[in-house]
Amino acid sequence: MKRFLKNFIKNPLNVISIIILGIVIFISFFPGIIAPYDPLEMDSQNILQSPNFAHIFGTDQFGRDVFSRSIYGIQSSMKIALSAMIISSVLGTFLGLLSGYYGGLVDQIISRVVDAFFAFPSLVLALFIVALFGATTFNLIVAIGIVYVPIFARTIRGSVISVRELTFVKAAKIVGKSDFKIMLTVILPNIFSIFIVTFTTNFSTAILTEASLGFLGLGVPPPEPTLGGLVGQGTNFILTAPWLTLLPGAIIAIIVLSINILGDGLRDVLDPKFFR
Amino acid sequence: MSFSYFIRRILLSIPTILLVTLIVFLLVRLVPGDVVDMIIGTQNFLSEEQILQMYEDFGLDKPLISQYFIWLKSLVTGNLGVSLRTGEDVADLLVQRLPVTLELALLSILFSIIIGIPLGMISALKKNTYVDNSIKVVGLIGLSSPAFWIGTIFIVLFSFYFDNFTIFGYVSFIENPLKNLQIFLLPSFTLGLMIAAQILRITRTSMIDELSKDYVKVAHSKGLSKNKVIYKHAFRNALTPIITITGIQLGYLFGGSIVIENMFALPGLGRLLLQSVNQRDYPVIQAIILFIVIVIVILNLLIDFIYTIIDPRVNLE
Repeated sequence: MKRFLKNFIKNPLNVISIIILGIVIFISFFPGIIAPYDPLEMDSQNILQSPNFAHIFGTDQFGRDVFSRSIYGIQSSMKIALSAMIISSVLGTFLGLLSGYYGGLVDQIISRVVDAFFAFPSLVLALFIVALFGATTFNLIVAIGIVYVPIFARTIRGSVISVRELTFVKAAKIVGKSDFKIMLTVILPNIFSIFIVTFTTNFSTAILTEASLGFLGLGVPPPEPTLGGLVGQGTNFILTAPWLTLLPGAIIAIIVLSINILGDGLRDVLDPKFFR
Repeated sequence: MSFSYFIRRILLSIPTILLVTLIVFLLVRLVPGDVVDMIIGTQNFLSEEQILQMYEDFGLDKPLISQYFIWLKSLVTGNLGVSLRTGEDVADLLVQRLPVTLELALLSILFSIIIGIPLGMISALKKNTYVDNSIKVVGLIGLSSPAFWIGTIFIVLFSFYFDNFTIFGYVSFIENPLKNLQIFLLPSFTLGLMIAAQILRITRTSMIDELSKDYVKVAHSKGLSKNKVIYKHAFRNALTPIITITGIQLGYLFGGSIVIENMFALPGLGRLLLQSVNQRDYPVIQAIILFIVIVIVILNLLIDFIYTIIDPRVNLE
C-alpha cells in the first residue's frame, strides 16, 4: 500500500488530478459556498455580459451568473454520472461474476444479452431511453446506468475467467465455501484493481455522455443548470457570447481529463502486468 | 481464410441482431400507456381509419410475444412505418438522410487515422522522451474534451478569422463538391480528433509491444534497415489492435455524429433523430436507433474479416 502510494504520487499529474477532483467533490457537496450568486436568479440589467470582476464567467441571456450556474452544473452532472456508475458497476460486476464463474449456459445467456446491449453506442442507447421515458434526474441516472452495465460485465467476466482456475479459488472450493462466498470473498478482491480502473475510465465517459445529452437538450430540463445543458443553450449565442459555451465546456474537459489521468495513473501502479 | 468461419461468424451475429430488436421493442413497450396512444399523442391528422389500422398493425389485442413477431415481420419486409409528423415513409427518410451521416463518418475516420496513427508511431518510437510525453498529454486532452466543446472552439475561431467560411448550412456533393467538402471540414475534423485520441493511444501501446518482441531484434540483427523493421514488420503486426479500436470507435462515431450534426446543422440521421425525439415521432426514433445498431453489428463483422486478411495469425476458432 505504501509503495503503491509512493509510486502514485511520484507523477505530479496524478497529484494535480487528485487535487482537482477533491475540489470537484467539495463543490458537488457544497455548491452554495462557492457560487457567488443564485444560479436561477435573473437580472435584466446585466444580460450577456462578457466575463468581468462581478461575473467571472459572464452572464447569460437572462442575466444569470454563468459561474454560479456552472458550479451547480458540476453538482448535478456529478450526481447523475456517479449514481449511474454505481448502478452499472454493481449490476455489471454481478453479471460478470456469474458469467465468468459458472461458464456454460449461464455464461452463454448473459454474454449474448450483454453483447446485444454492447452493440448500442452509449450515447444512442442513453438518448433512446431518455427520449422514451422523459428527461428527469432519475431517468438519466437509470439510462446512463444501463448503458455502462455491459462494459463492466465484459471486463469482470474476462478477469474472473483468468483467476477462476487458480489454486486459491480451487482451495476455497475444497474447503467447502459456497459459490457466492467464493465469488465475493475470494475472486472479487483479486480482481479489484481491474474493477477500480474500469470504474474510473467509464466514470469519465459517463460524464461525457451526460454532458452530451444535456448539450442536445435531453438532460435535466431547464432552468436547472447542467454543464452540458449550459453549453447547449449557449450555442444560440455562440458568435455574440462565446463564453456561454466555452467556459462550462472547459470545466467538463478539466473534470474528465483529471479522471482520465487518475485512471491512467491507477492503471500504471495497480497492476503493471494486466494493463500496459 | 476459411469460408466456413465467415459463415459461422455471420450466423452468430443474427442472434445479436434479434436481441437488439427485442431490446428496442421491449423498451418502447415499457413506456406507460399503449403504443398507439403514445404514437398518436397530440397528433390529430390521423383519420379514424388510420388509427384502427395502427392498432391492427401493432396487433395490440394479441400477446406481447406475437406483437413482437408481427413487428419483426414488418421490419424484415422493410416496412418501418410512417413519420407521425410528415406522414413520410420512414425507410425513405432514412435513405434520404444517410448520405450526410455516411460522408461525415468516412471523413472523420479518415482524419482520425491520418492524425492518430502517425502520432502514435512517433510516440512509440520516441518512448518516454519529451516528444512522447507531449503527445500523450495531447491524446489525453483529446480523449477528455467533449466533442461539442472542441466544435464550439473551432466555430468561434473560424468565424473570427475567415470571412468566407460557411459553418452552418449544407450543400450536397453533387451540387457543389468543393463547397460540400468545405462544409464537412470542421464537423469531420472535430469528430475525427475525438477518435484520433483513441487511435493514438492504442497505436502507441501496440507499437511499443511489438517493438519489444524477439522477432524485431532478430530482424535488426540480421541487418534489415530500421525503417523496414518498423514499417514492414512491427507496424503490420501492431495493426490488429489498432483496427479493433477503430471498430469499437464506430459506435462512438455514430453517437458523436448526433452531437456534431446538430451542432453544425448537417441534415443527417443524427439531426433527424434529435428532431424526432423533440417531436415524439416514435416510429422514426425507433427506426434510426435500430438502423444504427444493426449497421454497427455488420461493420464489426466486416472488421473481423479484415483482421484475418491483414493478420493471418488470427485464430479462426
